[in-house]
Amino acid sequence: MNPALWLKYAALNLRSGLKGFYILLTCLTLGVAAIAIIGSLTSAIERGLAEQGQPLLGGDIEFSLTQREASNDEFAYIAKQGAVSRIATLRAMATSNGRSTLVEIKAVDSAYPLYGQFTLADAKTLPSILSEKNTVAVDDLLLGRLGLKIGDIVKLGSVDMRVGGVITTEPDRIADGIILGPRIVMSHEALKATALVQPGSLVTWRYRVKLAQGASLTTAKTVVGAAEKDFPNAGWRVRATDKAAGGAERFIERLGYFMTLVALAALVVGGAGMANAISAFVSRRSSAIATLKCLGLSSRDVFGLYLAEILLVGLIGLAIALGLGAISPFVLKTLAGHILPLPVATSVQWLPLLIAGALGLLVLAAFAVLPLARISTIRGADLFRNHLVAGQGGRAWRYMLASLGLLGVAATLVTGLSESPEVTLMYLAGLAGSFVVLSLLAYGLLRVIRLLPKPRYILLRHAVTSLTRPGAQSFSIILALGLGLSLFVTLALTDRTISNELRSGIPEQAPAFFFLDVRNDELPQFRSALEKETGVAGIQNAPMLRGRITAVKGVAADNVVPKPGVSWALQGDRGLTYSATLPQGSELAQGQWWAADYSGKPLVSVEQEIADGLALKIGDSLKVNVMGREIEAEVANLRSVNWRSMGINFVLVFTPNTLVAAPHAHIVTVEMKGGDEASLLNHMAEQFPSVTAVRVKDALATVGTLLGQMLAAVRGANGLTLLTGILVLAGAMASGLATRSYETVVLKTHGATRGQLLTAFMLEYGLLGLVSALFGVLSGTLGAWYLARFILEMPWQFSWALAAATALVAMVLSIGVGLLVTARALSAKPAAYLRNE
Amino acid sequence: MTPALSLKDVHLNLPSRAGDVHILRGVTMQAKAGEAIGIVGPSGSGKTSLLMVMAGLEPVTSGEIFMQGEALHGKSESALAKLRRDHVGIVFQSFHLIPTLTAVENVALPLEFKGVRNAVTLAQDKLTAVGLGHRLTHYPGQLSGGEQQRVAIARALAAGAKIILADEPTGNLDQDTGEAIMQLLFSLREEHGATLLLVTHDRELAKRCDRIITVRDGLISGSSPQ
Repeated sequence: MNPALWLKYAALNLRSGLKGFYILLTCLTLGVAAIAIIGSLTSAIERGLAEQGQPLLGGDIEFSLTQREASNDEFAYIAKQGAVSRIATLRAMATSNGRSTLVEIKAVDSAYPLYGQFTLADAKTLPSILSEKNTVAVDDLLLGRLGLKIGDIVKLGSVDMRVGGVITTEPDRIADGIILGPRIVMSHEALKATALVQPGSLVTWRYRVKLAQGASLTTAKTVVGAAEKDFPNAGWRVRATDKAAGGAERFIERLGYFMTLVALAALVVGGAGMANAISAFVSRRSSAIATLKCLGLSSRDVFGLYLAEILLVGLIGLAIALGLGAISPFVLKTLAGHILPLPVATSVQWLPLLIAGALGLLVLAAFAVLPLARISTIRGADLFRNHLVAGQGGRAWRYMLASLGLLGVAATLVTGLSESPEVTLMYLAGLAGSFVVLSLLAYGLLRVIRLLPKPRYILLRHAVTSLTRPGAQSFSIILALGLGLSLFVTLALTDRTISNELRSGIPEQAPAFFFLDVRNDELPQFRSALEKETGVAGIQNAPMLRGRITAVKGVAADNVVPKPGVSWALQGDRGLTYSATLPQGSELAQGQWWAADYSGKPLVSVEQEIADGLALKIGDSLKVNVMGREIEAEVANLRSVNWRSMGINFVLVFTPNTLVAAPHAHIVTVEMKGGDEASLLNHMAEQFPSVTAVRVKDALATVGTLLGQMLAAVRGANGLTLLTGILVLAGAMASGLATRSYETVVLKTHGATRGQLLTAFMLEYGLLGLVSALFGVLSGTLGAWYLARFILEMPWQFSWALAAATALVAMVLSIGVGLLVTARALSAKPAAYLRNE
Repeated sequence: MTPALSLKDVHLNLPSRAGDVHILRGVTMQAKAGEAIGIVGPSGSGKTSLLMVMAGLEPVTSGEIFMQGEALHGKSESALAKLRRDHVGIVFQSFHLIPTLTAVENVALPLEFKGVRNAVTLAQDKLTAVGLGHRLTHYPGQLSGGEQQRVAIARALAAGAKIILADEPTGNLDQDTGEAIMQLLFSLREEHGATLLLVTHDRELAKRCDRIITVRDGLISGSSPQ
């Protein structure tokens, strides 16, 4: 073995240029660039979030409490840590000009913001707004929704507020979680004047602390840990800057993860193209390979030399791809930094680049090994016989094992680095399965075509025969295009399943509105006001409190390891209720419901899936913190809940005697048949200014938009897979160009016209596209069915229109690319070919 | 003295769709060290196959071949490659230079893989010796047929091959160039004291050798000393 000589002669060989390597280079570059760019951007945003932790959180530490302010002791403890800024956030209705809309109120003190800059349009300042009585700063969006301008009046609760300025920058917006409406910022005095904060109102009180100068994240985390220990029953959520934008971080991480998985498919599909290109390369080099063997080089040395050449070409592709990945954060920041809601760190993200590079090399090597294995079947003796066609067999299984081993290392790398190894493994298994199934199907179909009686129509017969002639690239084309199309179909059908689910859920089953913060004392009037409205078909209400699970079966929530998929139940506050009877939309799964007049120790009914995820059984204990009070309840029964009904459903339902004494408000849902939703909203907002209304259609539209954006991003990554499939198609067609030109010349010599040859080409390419589409639709549908049935748990949707469109797209692509690449064959001059033969 | 090459009852069958083809049917011969042997015979008689089995490029069906006293049978592909590298130089009708390497690199490549330290200098010397000192960095595509064959001869002899197997080395060249190439080949053979086995259709060319053997239907039908 002479690796140094392999490299030397590989480099010398490459002086003649990269001709013949363009498809390989493009396939590799596209796949690796996609992974590198996705990884770099994800990492740059995560780093941006980490670097901007203080302004994003609005402090070094945040203590937050739901539905109650900190007690004197608690506040004293907080104030001991450093400078404090007190903030209240809540949802409410804003009314003006006869229109109402949901808004997100943020009441701040003069210390706000502790970090970062809060800016307003027209050189106004926040302190000047806060110091004016009943004056607020608002999002530009609110002006549009309610037809307002600066200086106009907007009604919040029972008070008129003057719009004093328009917010341009709110540094800590991301820390406040999901925002459903336009922001309104005001002073605590103004909030008090609105009377929106009542016992039981869904208000979050936040206390941001600026630690002493130079305090590190470690110090902040120590304070977080101490606060949770020092006040175990406070029920507060304490976080440092590392969790400033936990939700956004998780979202970005997850989106990046899914996009990476899809980009991996592009790399694997590209692998088929690389293998084709390398196979053609080995054929082109057959004579040189045989010569080297005659000169006394062993098969291993020849293999090493050409593998080195392929890897050197690969390094060029990797350099381009990683370069693109490296500059992507800078490009994103420059082009879209001003509209992005998230900070992007402008630095090279080495780890994702390293991972993308390693994956690229592994996949390239894995797909190079098998075609290079033909080197061992090319014999020096063939040089004497003038028929340099490499044989089959030999020690191919060794190379197959090596190839599988390399892919195994790549899969281990991807799985090991992923946040959901199980899902990743399933995806990779699916990808490998599709590869194998498509290979078998393609192989089987080509065998069947070979055995079928030949069509009578000569051009069709020529087209069909061309699919199976020696050296035809049908197999790899069907595989690459089929895989690209199969992902396309999976995503399109999944998109359709989700959209249908979102649409079909609304009209009959779902309520039109959720009203929050309906006070105990105003509930009867609220209901009767609703009953008077036109189109109201049903009203439901339930008491609602916020609380968080602090212990399960005596084990602190932080130490509980839930099953995947239910960990959310232990994160943050959840809605709680109490009920004397089994709530509508629930069915008793285990145990007995308590008596309507039950007055014993606290009991709780738990939703079945959550109970299963937390390993809770009847008789186990569950501890929750409601407004700073710890309540330990015994699990009395388990319920199955039909969440799709979109009615009032809670994970935890307590016995009335447990919670009735706590200050709380009610949630009310309204079903409508006919009637004017906008007018109902305005009437109710006018009569009950402290009640918050959430229109279900708007909420679903928001969710739909979010999902749509996610799917668009994933679809973009899939577009790349399809593009790679097309490249593979082009490469495969190009590699057969010489044979095709020769054939064309021979047929022309025997009287075939250009038109007939063109028709034969189109029939052949159309057939290839059709077969690829058939496989794409088949495996894509299987993938979509699996996702719908087992992951999304939604009714599966199939679309014949989509299947037909896929077939059409595949045929157009196949014919288009085929003709583009092989049109030259039609113009081949007979003399040039025949003279040499 | 150990013969450079020795074949004992060598048979070669090659599979084909119509069944096995019996190409060599029991060839027995010896080539003494430094001897030049012309191999002639009609097309399809087995001349080239004989050359291939001598080089260890085609495994024989039965019989034995010894190269410099070392048996070829039972050797692995790598061992045969090494034996070829150490003892054999092959000159082809179609030159078979590596098109992506320059003349000097083509000659240096087998030397480097053999582990020769000053491979490039040696290659330059050999090319100068065959009259191509001014074409060292030219690619095969930039050389005439005669020049390419000179590079191939330099490559065959650079590593000090003791056996030269030449398969119609002038088949692709015009008469004058062919003549020049043959003169070069014979003079270098003499200089190196190498054994030459020359397959040719040209009886006049074969007559320059010490001995001519005629192959017909896979058998040596005659051997005549010159």
